[in-house]
Amino acid sequence: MTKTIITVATTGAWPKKENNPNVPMTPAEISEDVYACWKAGAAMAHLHMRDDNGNGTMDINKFRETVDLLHKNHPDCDIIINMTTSGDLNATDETRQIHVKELHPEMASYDCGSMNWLHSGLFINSPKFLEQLGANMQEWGVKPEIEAFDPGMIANAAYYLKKGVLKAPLHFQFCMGCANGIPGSVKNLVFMKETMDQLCPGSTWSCFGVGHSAMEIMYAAIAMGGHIRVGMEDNVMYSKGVLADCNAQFVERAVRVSREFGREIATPDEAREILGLKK
Amino acid sequence: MSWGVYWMFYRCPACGKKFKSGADTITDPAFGRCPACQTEGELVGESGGTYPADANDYEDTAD
Repeated sequence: MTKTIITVATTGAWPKKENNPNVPMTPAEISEDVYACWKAGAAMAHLHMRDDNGNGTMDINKFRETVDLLHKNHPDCDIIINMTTSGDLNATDETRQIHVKELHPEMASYDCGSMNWLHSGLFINSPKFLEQLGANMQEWGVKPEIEAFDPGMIANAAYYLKKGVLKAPLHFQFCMGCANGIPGSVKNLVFMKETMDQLCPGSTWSCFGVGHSAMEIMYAAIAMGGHIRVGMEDNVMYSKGVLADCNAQFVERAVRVSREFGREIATPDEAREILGLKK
Repeated sequence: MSWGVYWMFYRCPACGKKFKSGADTITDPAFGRCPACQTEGELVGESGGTYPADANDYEDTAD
């Protein structure tokens, strides 16, 4: 059986300390949190940054400081760094990419379509931006993590694959249960995977469900041979009515569940092999 | 980027209880109904709009 790649999304752009005081916000907090998650079994860290007021930011200096702190304080940590390109709805196409160009993470997110955001704003990923980002990521040697919030975004990825903007094999992150996206259910996860298998055969995939669908999606993904993402970007509650103590708590549960099912956990190097990354 | 649960916050017009329902549970029959007396709640806020200052005091109808 394929080993399970666990990605931890520690922070996101949305939850704040008032939602859960344990959400890591500063570069120092995030870097320590990533290290704890790596020790717990995470092979990849999906990074978002916050400004000094706790709002999502694409400030390259925050990304740089976080990665520098991680590598300086924990040189043994070989976790795959995956940086967001969508951490601030007001960012420009340029500020969404410059940190990827300058800091060379192994992976970065690629949100494969636009949608309404929280019933109040727009999450825009224009054709121009996606073509530019895809071409740039190929040039910079950064593998896109294709975030798909609905099946149409998988079809969009297939279009960019045919056009040469994206290069196979793709790696998808199915983002489920977000407002305006596909609801998180086993039935919908099966549909997302079947759509991917049909349109982008040979791709690898991971997924998460926000909120109440988190456990259903995690168990289903493990049973279906997918990889999983956990962390406070998607869920600040560990279980009903219980705030998460830390991100490592989510990773530890994912490790436990996967092993009990019979799937071992991929180390970062094993994840690199599965995803076709060059170290 | 994800944005967690999209909450809709309610106040019960019958008993005054504060409660919330996550949009990811929209098919749940309990959605928007007071967990104490099952009365249809009055919407007082939501994640993308007016987010109540006392949001942590609202009971989740999915609990």
